[in-house]
Amino acid sequence: MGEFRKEAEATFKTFCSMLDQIGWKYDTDVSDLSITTTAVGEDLPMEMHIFMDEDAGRMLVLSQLPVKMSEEKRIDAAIVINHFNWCRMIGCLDYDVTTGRIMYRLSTCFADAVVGEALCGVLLKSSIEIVDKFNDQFLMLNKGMLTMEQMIENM
Amino acid sequence: MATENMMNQAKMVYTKLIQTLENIGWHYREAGDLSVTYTVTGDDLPMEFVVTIDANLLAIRFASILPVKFSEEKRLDGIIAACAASNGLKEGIFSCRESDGTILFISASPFIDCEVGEGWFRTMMSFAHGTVDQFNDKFLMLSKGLIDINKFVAEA
Repeated sequence: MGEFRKEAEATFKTFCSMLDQIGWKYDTDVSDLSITTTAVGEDLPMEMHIFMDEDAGRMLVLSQLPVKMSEEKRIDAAIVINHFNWCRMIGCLDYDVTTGRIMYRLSTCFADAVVGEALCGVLLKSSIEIVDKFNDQFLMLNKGMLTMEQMIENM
Repeated sequence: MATENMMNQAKMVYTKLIQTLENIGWHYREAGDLSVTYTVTGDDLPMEFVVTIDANLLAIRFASILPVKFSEEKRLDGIIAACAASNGLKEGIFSCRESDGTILFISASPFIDCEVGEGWFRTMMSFAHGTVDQFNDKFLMLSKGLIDINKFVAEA
């Protein structure tokens, strides 16, 4: 059992309660305190995974972008993602340069804390907004329909 | 723009941060605007941190500028290395400023509608310090050409 099991369970319940309040459909895995939900944005559906890490004492919101950057576009994506991440406080893009995969990640600490529903709502909303903004853009970058400079200018 | 309520909440969290640092016995300096600075000694290199309570976002931010700058010739290595080091972290992100090759680490947690205890600060400090300590020497060696980017990415 992780050091922050009690807080992990409480935060899991709070997040689920927030989703219930807003009438949001979701699935849970109680054994690892995870939540999966799908949001429909402007362009592409977005699968969001919320994990309570009882060892680290952190809640993570993760969403895999539906793109695998080709080898030719891998450096362009690294430059764009680095630009996005510079000085970013809430939410970031994780990039595996070896596979071209991009993951949106947002995490917040719940160790020795009582997390409120309002925070859960804010985290979900901001995650969906960012993923929705960029998922199609990275697809377009990969297909050569958008340049790296255009993506950076749009940020 | 932070409302009065948000500012009050931010000040409360800042007070708890100071209390935590005092209880740990940490040397720190108050830097104004709900910020403190301090230096941590890691395995290899000293690490300077700026901890800020952001009243507009209601979030705490740990920021550390690494003692390394990537030259223009090595700037792309710095960018790729920042991506590689960040990938898969549970908290925090490295990024490389394109204009001058500075490497910045930021770890943040919002606290909207939350009650936080001393353990909250301690846990975040531990993670932030540990993560910077893990990578600062590797970034330095990469910037000096002592390791190449492929080795950095493989070991990140």
